[in-house]
Amino acid sequence: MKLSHLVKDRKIHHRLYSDPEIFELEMEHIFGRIWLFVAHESQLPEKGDFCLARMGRTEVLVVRQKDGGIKVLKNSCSHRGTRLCAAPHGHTGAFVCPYHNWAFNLDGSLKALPHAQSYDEQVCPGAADMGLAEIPRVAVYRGFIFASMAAEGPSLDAHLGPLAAAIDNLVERAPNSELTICRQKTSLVYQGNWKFHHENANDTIHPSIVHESSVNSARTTPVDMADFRADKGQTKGMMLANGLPPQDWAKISLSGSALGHSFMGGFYRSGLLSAAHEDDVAKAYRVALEKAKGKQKATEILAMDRFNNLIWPNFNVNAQFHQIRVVHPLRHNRTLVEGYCFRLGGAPDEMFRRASRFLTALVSPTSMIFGDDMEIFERVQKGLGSDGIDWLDMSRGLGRESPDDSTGGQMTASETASELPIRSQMQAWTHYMGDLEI
Amino acid sequence: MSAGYSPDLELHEAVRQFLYLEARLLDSRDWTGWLDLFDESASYFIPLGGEEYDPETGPALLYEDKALLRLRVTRLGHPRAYALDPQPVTTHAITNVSLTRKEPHLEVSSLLNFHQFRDGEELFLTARLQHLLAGAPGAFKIMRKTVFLTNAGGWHSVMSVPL
Repeated sequence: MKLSHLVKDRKIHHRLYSDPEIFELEMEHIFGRIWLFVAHESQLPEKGDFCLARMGRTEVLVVRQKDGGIKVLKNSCSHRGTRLCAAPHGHTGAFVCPYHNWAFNLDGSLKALPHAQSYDEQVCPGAADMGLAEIPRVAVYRGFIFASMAAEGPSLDAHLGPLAAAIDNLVERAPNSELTICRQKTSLVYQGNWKFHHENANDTIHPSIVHESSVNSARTTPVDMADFRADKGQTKGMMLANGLPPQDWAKISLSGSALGHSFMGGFYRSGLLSAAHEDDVAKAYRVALEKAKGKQKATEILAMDRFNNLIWPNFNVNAQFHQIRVVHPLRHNRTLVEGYCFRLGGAPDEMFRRASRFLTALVSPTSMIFGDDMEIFERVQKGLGSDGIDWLDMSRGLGRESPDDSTGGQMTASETASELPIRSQMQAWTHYMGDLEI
Repeated sequence: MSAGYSPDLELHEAVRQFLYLEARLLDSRDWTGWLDLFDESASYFIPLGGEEYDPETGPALLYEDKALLRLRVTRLGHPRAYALDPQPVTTHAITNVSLTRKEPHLEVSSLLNFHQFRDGEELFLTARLQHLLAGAPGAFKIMRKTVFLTNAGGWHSVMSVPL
């Protein structure tokens, strides 16, 4: 049977989430082909700088080369397959395997090995095929490093398509257009399929239901705003924001594309982080941005009011609050979500504190908000894993769509609180997986 | 850090009993009783792993003042907090208690063994706790509590119950 039979206009078969065999095919045909975010350039400023990253289940080294370029290499010695480097990041002149001391240059070529006389000419420094496996394609979009395990395929620009605007917006929010990623990241594991993350992130019906406990706690706990010394009420505002009434959620814009990407409009209508609320910090930031970019440009940059920009299959850009998330599939029923925040070059320090608090409040394992999403993902996985239903429904808002003018018609906009983002993700899934037989 | 030996055995015992009380309140889900142990100016901090950094600046696993803890405690008791339904059963075991400083506040180092059972799933965590306590024996208040998780730099599942 062709896998395309498992995705219909309105329905998704449960095997997309519960079948380890389909997961293996996803690793090969989605994560083994498509452009994946691996690092930000600010993690590798100097020649010889490196960091570890994941591409699907493959661990890779992202390495700044002597010529200033970037290579992405599998973190496995070409001799016995030993995991080469265990440090999450660092600076080096060579990678030396701990097992037999084979040493590799920054470009992955074999540099030296002890007992050279015991090997023949096929195993010697510089020998072809004895270097580290190199990920064939690496491309950088405005400081964001992506890699693809496929030697050929669409360019990164073609893959990002209209979602490049989300990365542009994040970069341009820095007055000097320089971002620095914060190495302190959150790493949250849930017992559920990787696709749940993106299917949920732009779902605008669940927040007022799943997050009712945090919305209500923020509403009903008697605390003076002045008592929020640590964050000036930012976290409370984030908790309250999920409590928009249904008619307002229906007005939050949603757009999706055949590439699998989607974005949703912002929904922070009040509180510290809302556009309407300009305190001294936000004002100082706006002034710095206007000084650097001109008033009109700064206004345009700040006017892009979006929440999650989902770049399929596993990247999430929240430009407005200077965050990214990377979703790593571990098994068909196990997923890692990494959360990072950025420092905006030329912005007041307090802007970075707000980004840090945003990450802590929303994506940390202790989050009063995200914790309830994770619980739902695990319950969906349990429900599907027990053969509870054959088909999941994704029909909400189907047919109530129109070309998205804000992307020059490159994306489709929904006219209601639609499951359009999920349908877009499934369109991309079918593109990569549909012709495979199972 | 001093050797941890305190000639002031009564004080040491009072501190130990205070930490046991805190653990008992958490394990019995007396969230407001737990919150009452914190001074109005208190902070509760669970750092992420890696380089040392200032909680005021960088992201954390958790960094809350008493106002935010009030919201957290309300949610812990909320009937629709999915991550707490069914309720976790927990054990906070406190060991290796030592007074590491006495002025201006008591600084106490201890170890935490945390075990949670919920909906068929188990969670084990260990940490070094650092409490900064004000007041006299019998009426201590937590000025600052820091939880240095052994696996602060690792992967975590959801942590709903305070450590």
